Amino acid sequence: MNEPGQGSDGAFASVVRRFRLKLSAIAALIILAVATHVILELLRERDHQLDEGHRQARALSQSLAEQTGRLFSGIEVMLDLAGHLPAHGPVGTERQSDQVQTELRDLTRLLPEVREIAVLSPDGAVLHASTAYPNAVLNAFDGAHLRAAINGSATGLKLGEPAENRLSGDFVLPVSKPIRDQDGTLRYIAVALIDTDSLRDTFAAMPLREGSAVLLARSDGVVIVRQPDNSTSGTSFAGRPLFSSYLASAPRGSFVSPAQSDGEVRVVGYQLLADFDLALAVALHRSELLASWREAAFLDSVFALIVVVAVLFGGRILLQGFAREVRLREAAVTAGAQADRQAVRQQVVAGLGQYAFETGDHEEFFERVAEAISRATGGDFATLVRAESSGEHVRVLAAAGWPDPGIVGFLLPAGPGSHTGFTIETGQTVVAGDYETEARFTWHKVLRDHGVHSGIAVPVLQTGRQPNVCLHVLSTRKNAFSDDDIHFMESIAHLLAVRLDRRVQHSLRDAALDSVPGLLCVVDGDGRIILVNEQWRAHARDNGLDHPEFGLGTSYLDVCKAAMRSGVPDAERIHDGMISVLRTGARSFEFEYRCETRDGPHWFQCFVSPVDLDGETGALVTHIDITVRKSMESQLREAHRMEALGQLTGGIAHDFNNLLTVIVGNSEMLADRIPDGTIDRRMLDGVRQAADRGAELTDRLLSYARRQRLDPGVVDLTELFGEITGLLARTLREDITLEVDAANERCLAYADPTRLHTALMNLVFNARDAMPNGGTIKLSCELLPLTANHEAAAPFVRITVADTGEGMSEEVARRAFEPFFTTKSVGKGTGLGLSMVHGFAIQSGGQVRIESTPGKGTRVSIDIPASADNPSELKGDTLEYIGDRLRGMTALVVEDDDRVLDYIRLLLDDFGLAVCEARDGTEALRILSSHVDFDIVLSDVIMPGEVSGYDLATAAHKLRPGLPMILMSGYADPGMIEKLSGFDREIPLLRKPFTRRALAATMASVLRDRA
Amino acid sequence: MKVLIVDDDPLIGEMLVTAFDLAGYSVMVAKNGDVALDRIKQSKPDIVVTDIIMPTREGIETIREIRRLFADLPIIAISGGGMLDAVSLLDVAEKFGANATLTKPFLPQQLLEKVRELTRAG
Repeated sequence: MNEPGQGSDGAFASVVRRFRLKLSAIAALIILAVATHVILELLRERDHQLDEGHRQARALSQSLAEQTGRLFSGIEVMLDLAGHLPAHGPVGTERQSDQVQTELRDLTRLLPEVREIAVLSPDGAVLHASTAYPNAVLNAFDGAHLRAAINGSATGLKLGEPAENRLSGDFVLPVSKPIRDQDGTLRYIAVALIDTDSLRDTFAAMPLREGSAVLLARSDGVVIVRQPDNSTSGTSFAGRPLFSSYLASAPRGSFVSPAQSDGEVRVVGYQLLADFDLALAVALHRSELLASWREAAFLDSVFALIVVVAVLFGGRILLQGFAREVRLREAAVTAGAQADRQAVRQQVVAGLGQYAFETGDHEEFFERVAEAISRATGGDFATLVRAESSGEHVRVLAAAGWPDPGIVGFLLPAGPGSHTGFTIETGQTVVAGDYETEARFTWHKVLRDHGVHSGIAVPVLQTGRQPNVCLHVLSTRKNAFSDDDIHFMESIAHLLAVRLDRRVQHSLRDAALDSVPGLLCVVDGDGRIILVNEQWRAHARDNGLDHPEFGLGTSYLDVCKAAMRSGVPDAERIHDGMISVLRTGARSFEFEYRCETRDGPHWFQCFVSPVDLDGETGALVTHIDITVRKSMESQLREAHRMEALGQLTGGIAHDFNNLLTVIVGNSEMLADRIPDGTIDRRMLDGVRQAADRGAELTDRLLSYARRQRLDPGVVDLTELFGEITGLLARTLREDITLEVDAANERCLAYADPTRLHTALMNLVFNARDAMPNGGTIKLSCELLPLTANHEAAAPFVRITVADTGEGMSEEVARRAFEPFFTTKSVGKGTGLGLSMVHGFAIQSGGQVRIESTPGKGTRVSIDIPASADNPSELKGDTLEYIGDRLRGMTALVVEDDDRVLDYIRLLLDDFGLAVCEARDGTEALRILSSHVDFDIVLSDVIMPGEVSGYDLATAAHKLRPGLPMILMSGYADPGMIEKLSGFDREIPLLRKPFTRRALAATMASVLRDRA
Repeated sequence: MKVLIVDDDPLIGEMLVTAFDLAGYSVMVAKNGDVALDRIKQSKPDIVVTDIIMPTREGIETIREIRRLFADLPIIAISGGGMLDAVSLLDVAEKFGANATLTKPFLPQQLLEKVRELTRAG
């Protein structure tokens, strides 16, 4: 891969190199200067130290020479004294020998260095000696020495050859001094033997440095004493430089003696003792002299080293600091360059982003994305692919740079079969620097054929979804893409993901809005409509409110104002409510209004609530059609009113019946006592007739109040219609036609046949009276599907009586069922006809509806429970399903009514159950106490005998806990009996009359609960 | 032959007493169920005629109690339109042991016929 910052990188590296070079040179100079200084200083110091050595050597030699000179001067004085001891007077008057010997011995004690003293005659014979063995003294002298002493004219001390004492083995130095008379005649020779060891001891006592040597020699080079080396005494050093050159040129001085056998260079200081023909030299080891210098040199070197190290270290720190500075600058410059490139890419991203929001064209957007990534990364080709739902392929959706446009739609293998397939599978960016060596996925033939060698594939990661879209940029070069290219690709993928997410969110939002059960729109802060749902559009279409965008963009407030001007009621309320929500931040408001639509008047509930539109307060407006609810509410209200009226009426009728009973009863009995034809009897008959009419009236009132005693049974409506038409054919006027709309199939109702008959007669008479100018009365019936608005599982039949008469106003229709409400003239009607129909329908478990249009006619429909024997009722799939579940079970049925028992047995047989019967609770308990197994018990609630259905349930629970049970009752609320029985358990109650379906469903639910 | 009439309405009671007197029955009247049960225990009537809606003790309950204590005593229930929801109390009364029912208003003759039927059978 290219390193985009390489050029400037090199430049900065060379700056650092140059700086390093300069810094090295400066450091070298500093180090050189320090080294030179230290070396010169050390050399100077060395010379100084050596000079000091020379000075020391000289001073030592001088000091020792002085000491030696004083010794020899003392010896000369001693010899002079000794030479004058024997003579007492003129020659021949010598003193006694033993006395002199004592005095000589005393003399030797004055100088420890002097071993023996002797006084010789001029011919060399020993006259006196400090020792008893004078020959030992003589032996030390060689003849030449003595002769020279005797014959010489000198008066000074003469030094002999150091010699080994023949008696003691010590080295001694013989010295002699001629003793002359005043005329110069040699009278005696005083000789002394000097102990060389003693001399050496003297030198050894000197505080000399290690390795130093002291030499005392005669000036002709014969060694007298050498400290520390004694073995050279008596040998001649005449050939050595000291004697061969230095002593000759100067009586004192110093020089450097080259290394001898021990390898030591010495500094030698010397002093000539001319009075005694002696030379004294002190040799010092140069290494010793330079010892302190070496220490100093070592310290200096260490110091210099520290300085060098400090310089190098400082230089390094300096270099690093500089390099860091340079790198920072370099990074700044590089960042600038990258920022420029980034800016270009950001422009591309921004442009695409803008386009993503503007365009709805998915394909074109994809193409632009493909072009953008190929342009911005310098790739030769680019594609955008999506995984096929089969999971086997990925399909190219858009492409850029490919010579063949057919690449769009091309299928590549999913998973490791292709670069993009692999990327979608892993859900991560996959960079391939060289397809030839790629091991993770296959180098697809299409890429090979186009000479593609490297590529980046980036998955488009949508929120909460598996990636299925992928961007791919490709190059014919190897390693053609940089990290920046990868990041760029990823940001484009992100952009694409946002757009795809947004589309999903849009469709979700639309789906959510469309699922709202009402007309919905959103308005912005100015009241302008910015969003509507499908119901809104449908309502607009259905009611001719066509607007190209269904009101989008128009001001809702303006619409309200226009409606206000044209006098639409409630428009002002919506307007003001919306203003309060939009302007004053009111929370929300709602109200209900009536509105004329194409299919008649509808009730709507309007709900306006504030919506935060990114800082601006808009409003969400819904109009929900509540016509059905309104009508149900009104029906309920009506039902409550009728109920109240019914209770009142029922109460009155009951009391009236008591009174009528007394009147009728007494009249009857009185009649037996009054003969026919008398006036008394006629008066009594009048009372009876009036009482009978009163009884009829209370009967109707009770019917309305649903306190009639009903005896329901299966009624074939077709037959009933036939009876009615037969009865009324002659009664109705000629201008009135009575039609029966024969149903396709037999309609069987479950109701009291007599009461139903009466109700239908009532309706027909009402219809007749509504058609003073003639018309048609149509009787019809139909089996209602189960989906109708009845809560019961049982189906209903609808009986309709329709006329083509005057119809009635809404107000009249609303009050038509009220007792004593009549539009007929006084005496023509009681106002109880429709009330009675209403009461009967309700009491039968159904309902009655009246629809009327003034001038067109009235239609009254009664819905009453259908009989279970209806043919269509026997066809449900549910039944088959339930029947299968129940097959093979055994049921105990407790029912005292033969007809009901037959009916239940029939149904259970059909379900496949075996049935055992009991006529009352007592018998049922007896059966349950036996060993017969039952899966379920069905029992009537109210049965003859002491054991009611509830008593049976309680007992059965004790006998067989968990045995499923269903109670059956003709009473909607047998609560009173429940209370009487002290029953407190929940047992499903099946209301009579029930259908086959209701029985099966209840049984299934009870058995399921048990399971 | 003794008849017990159970009704809280004195007019009805009086009318029925007259009717049964005339027909040659011995008649007693009880104002409510409790009194009725006492009378039955004391006087052992041959048949009971009871109204269903009475103030102190529901007629249905009275019927249940009578039937519990005296399994063979014939009972005729009468009512002027009392309903238990959608079903007539007379049906309920029958279930709980009334041997016959009669809706008010009725003729004394109708009641006497039912009494004769039941006592003959008994």
